[in-house]
Amino acid sequence: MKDKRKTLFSWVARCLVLATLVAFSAEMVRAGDLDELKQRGVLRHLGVRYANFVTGSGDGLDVELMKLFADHLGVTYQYVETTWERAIGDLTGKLIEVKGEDVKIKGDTEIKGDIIANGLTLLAWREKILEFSIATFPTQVWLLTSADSPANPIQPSQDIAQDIAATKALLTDYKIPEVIGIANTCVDPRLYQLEPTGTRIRLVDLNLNELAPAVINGVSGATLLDVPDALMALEKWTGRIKILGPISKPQVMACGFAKTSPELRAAFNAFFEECKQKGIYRDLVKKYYPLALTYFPEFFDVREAGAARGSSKSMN
Amino acid sequence: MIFRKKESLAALFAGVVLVGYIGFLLVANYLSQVELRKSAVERLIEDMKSRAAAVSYFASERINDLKELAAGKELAFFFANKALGMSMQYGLSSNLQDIASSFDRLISEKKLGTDPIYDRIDFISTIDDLHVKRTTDRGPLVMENGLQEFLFANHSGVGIKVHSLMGRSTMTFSLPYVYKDALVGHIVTWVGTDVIYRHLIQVGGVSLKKVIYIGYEGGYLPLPAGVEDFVRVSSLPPPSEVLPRDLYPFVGMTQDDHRSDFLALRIPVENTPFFLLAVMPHSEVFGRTSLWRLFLLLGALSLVVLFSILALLYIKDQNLILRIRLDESNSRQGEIARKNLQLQQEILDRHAVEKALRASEKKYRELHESMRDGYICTNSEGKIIEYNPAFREMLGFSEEEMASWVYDTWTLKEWRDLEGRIVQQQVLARGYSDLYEKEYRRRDGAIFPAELRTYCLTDGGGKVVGTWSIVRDISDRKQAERELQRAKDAAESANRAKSQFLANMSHELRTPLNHIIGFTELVLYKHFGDLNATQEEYLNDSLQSSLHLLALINDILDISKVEAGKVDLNLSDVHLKKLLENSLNMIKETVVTHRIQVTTDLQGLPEILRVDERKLKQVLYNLLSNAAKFTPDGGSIALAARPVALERGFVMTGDGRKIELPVEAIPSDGAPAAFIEIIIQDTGIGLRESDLDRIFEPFTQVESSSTRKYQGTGLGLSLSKNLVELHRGRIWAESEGADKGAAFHILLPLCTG
Repeated sequence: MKDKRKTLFSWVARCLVLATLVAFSAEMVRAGDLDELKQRGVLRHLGVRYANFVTGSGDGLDVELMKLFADHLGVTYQYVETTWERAIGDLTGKLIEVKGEDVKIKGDTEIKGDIIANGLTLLAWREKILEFSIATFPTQVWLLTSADSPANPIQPSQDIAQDIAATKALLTDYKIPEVIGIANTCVDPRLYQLEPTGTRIRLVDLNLNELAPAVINGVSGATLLDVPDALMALEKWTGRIKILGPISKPQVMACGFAKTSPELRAAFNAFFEECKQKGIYRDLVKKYYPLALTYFPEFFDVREAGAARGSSKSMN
Repeated sequence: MIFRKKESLAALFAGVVLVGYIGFLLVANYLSQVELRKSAVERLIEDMKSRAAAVSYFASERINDLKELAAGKELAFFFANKALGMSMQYGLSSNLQDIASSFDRLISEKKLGTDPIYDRIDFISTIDDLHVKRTTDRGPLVMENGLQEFLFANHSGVGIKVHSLMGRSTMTFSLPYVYKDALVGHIVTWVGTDVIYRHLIQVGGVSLKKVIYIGYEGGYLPLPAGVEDFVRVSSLPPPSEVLPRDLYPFVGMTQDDHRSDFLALRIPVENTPFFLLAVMPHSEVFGRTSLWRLFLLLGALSLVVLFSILALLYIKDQNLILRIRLDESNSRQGEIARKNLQLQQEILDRHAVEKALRASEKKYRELHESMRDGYICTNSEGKIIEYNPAFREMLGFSEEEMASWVYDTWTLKEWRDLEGRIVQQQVLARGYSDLYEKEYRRRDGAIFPAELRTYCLTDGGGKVVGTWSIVRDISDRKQAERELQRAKDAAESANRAKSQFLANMSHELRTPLNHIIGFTELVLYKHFGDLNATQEEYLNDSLQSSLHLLALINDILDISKVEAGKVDLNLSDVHLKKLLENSLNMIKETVVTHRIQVTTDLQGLPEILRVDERKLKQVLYNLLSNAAKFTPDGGSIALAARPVALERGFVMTGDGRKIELPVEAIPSDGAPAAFIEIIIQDTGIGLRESDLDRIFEPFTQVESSSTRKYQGTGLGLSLSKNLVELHRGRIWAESEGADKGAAFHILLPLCTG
C-alpha cells in the first residue's frame, strides 16, 4: 500500500512537472525561433569546454559545425561560454533542478543562446526540457581505474547488458569504494544506478579531462568517462589507467534546442544531413576524433578499412 | 717521258708516306683504345661502387626505420594496455589504430623523389593472431606463407629478403619486436625494387652501354618495366661464378636470341645480401680494334693507296690530253668571243645609224608632209616619181589619179616651152633654176599661178635621172598685185587729172594776175600821176603780194606740169661751171645784205653737161635762195660740184640713209655710173633727221614758226626734186641736226638722155 501511494504520488508529481513544462513552453514559444534569429542576424552558440568538441581555444568539432551552420543561415556566429549547470538555463531561460530523470523548474533566467553544442549527450531528463537534433556523435560511458587497480577489465561478450553488469560487478567484487563523476553530465554516476554495487558516488567539481588524472593520483578509486574522453585519456596516460568496461549502453550526442525553436532545429537537421552527405562532417570528425571513425564505423558510415571492433584482431 | 717518270716516282713516294702516316695513326689509335679500355673499366668499377654504396646506404636507412618503429610508443602502449587486461573492444583497438597510424605516417613520409619507398608495412604477432597491415596501392600481393617461413627463420636481428611475385620484385626488411624481454612479433617493411632501381641504380654515370642487375646468391631480380634489357636473365652467369670486382666474360643470349659476348662486373652491396651486376657487350669495353684487325687494315690500306697511285697516273695522262684540247677550245672560244664582240659593236653602231636615219627620215617625212609648198619629183620622161600632200592638194587630184598622170598634164601648153628652156638652160646647166612663174590647171579646170624653183635629180653616179621642184601657189599674191596695180593706176589717173586741173587753173589765174601786176606797176611808177606816201606804200604792198601770188602759181603750175607729165626736158650742152657761178648772182643781194660768206669748190668738173639749163637754174635758185634765207647773218654758204663714179645702185648718205639710184642711170653691163654731184651747204638753222625726207613733199616747211619767219610757198624743194628726177638724178638733204646747218646734194647723170 505504501508502495502504491508512493507510485501515485510519483505519478501526480510527474504530471505536475509536465504540466508546468507545457505551460512554460507555451510562454516561450514567443521567443528564439528561426525568424527571430535571422532578424537578429546572430547565431549564439552556447558551449562548455569539453574534450575536442569545444577546446576553449576557439575551435573544436562543435565550434566548427556551428560556424558552418551560421554561414548556412547567413547570420553571424557568436560563441557564448557557459557551464554544464547553466547551459540549459541559458538556452531556455529557465532555472532547473534535476533529480534522477526528473526536472524541476525553479525560476527564470536570461536567455543567452540559441543552440547548445558541446558533445551534449542525449539523456532522458534532458529530453524533458530540451529538443535534440539528430545524433551528431556516438558515445558510451566507461568505468576507468588506475593501472594498479586490482580489478581486471571484463572480457567482452556479445551482449552489452551483460557487459554492463559485469563491469558493475567489478565494483562490488573488488570493493572499489568510490566512483567520481560530474553532475548533470553524461558522466554523472547518478544516472547509472551504481548505488546497488555498494560503491560510493561522489560528484566532483572538475572538468571532464581532469577525471583520469584524479584517478591516477588516488583521488578516487574509479571514475566514469565517456568514450571520446576515455580515448584521449588512454593516449595521454597510457599504462597508468585502464578501462574496466562499459557502464552505459551506447549513447549519442546531439545539439540541444529550446522547445520554442522547432524551425531552428529543423533547419539544423537539414543542414547536418547535408554535411554528412557531402562528407564535410566526416572530415571534421577525422580532424578532432580520428579514433572515433574506427570505433564507431557504422555511425560515421566508414566504409574504408579501419580499426575493427569486437573479436577481430586484424587491422587492415 | 722523263718528266712522267719523275712524277710517278713522286706519287709512289707520296703513297708510301701516306700509308706510313695512316699506319701510324692506326697504331696510335689502337694504343689509345687500350688505354681507354683500361680507364673505362676503372671508371666502371668506381661507378658501380658508388651505386652499390647508395643502395647500401638506402638499406641501412630502412633498417633504421624499422628500429624507430620498434622504439615507438604505439607498439609499447598497445602491449602495455594489453598487459593490463584491457579488451580490444573497450580500449585496445585505439592503440591498434595508433600502430596503424604510425605505419601510415612512415609510408607517406618516406620517399625517393616523389615515389614512396614503402609499399607495405606489417606487424605480425607471434603470440596470437594479431596482424596489422598497411599498404599502398603498389603493395605486393600477399605472400603470407613465404613470409611466415622467412620470419620464423629470423628470430634475431634484421632480416633482408627478396620477394618476386608476378613480375614485381620487392626487398623485405624485418625486425623482431620484443616486449618485456619476450618476442611478441615482427615488424616487416616492403620496398619495391623498381624504386631502388629508378633512383639509385638507373642514374647517370659512366656512359657505357650496360644493364645493371640486382643479384643475390639465389639469382637475379628481374629488371623493372621500361629498363632496356639486352641480355636474357636466364643466360646470366651463376652468382657464385662471378667474383667481386673482376670482369667476367661470358657468352649470353640476347633478347632476340642471338649469342653474343658479354662482360659482367659484380659489386657487392655492403651490409645486405645483395650485389649489383653490371652486364655490357664485350665490344663496349674492349672496342672493335684488335691486332689482327690492325694488320688487316694496314694491308687493305696499302692496296688502296697503290691502286690510287696507278689510277692517279692514268687520270693525269688523260687530264693532260683533255687540257690541251681545252686550251684549243678556249682559244677558239676567245676568237669567237672577240668576233662576237665586234659583231655586237657593229650591231650597236648600225642600230645607232638606223636610229639616226629613222629620226632623220621622220624629220624629213614630217617636213615633206607638213610643208605648205608643193614638192614634185619626175623622172626624165616626165613621169611622176614622188610628190607631197601639199602639191596634190594644190591640184585637187586623188592619189590614184596622180599616179596615172604625167607632169605636163597639168601644165598649160604656153608654159611648157618656157619651162623646157629653163630646165635646159638653168637646171641642167647649174643644177637649179631661178625662181620662175608658171600656171597649172587644177582638176576642176581652174588655172592658178605658181612660183617654183626646179632642181636637178641625179643618181649616185651623177647621171641626171629627173628633176624635182618646189612649187608655191601664188594666186593670192597675184591677186594682191593686181589690186595694187589697179589702185596705183587709179591714183595716177586722179593725180594727172588734178595736175591738169591745176595747170589749167594756174593759167587762168596767172592771166588776170599779170594784168593786176602790170596796172599796179603803171600806177606805182607814177605813169598816171603822183602818189602820196600812203598810196605809194599800199600799192607797193599790193604789188609784192601779187608777185608772190604769181610765183606761187608758177610753182604750182610747174609741179602740176611735172606730175601731169606735161614737162619735157629741153636738153642742151651747158657750161656747168659757168652755170654754177652765175647761179650765185641770184642770191648776191641777200648774202651781201646779211654778210653771208659764199665759197665755191668747182674744180675738176667736166666742161659741158647736157641738161635742161632753165630747169637746172630753177633748182639751183631754189636751193641757194633757201640757203641764204635760212642762214643767219654772218653765216656761210658753200657751193661745190664734183664728178663721182658709183659702182652700186645706191648712195649712202653721211647720216646712214640709203639713196637708191635710178635704174636707168646704171649701166646694164655693171660698169660704174658717172655722176656730177652738186653740194650746197650752209650754216643755217639745220634740219632734224625726221625732216630730211619730208621737206621734199609739196607745201612743206619744217615748222609753222619757220613759215612765219621765212617767206616761201613750200613748193620749191618739191619742184626741185621733180626737176632733178626728170633728169634721172637724185636730190637729198643731210644735216647733223637743228642749228647745225644743212647740205643739199644733187646727183645728175653725166650723160643724161
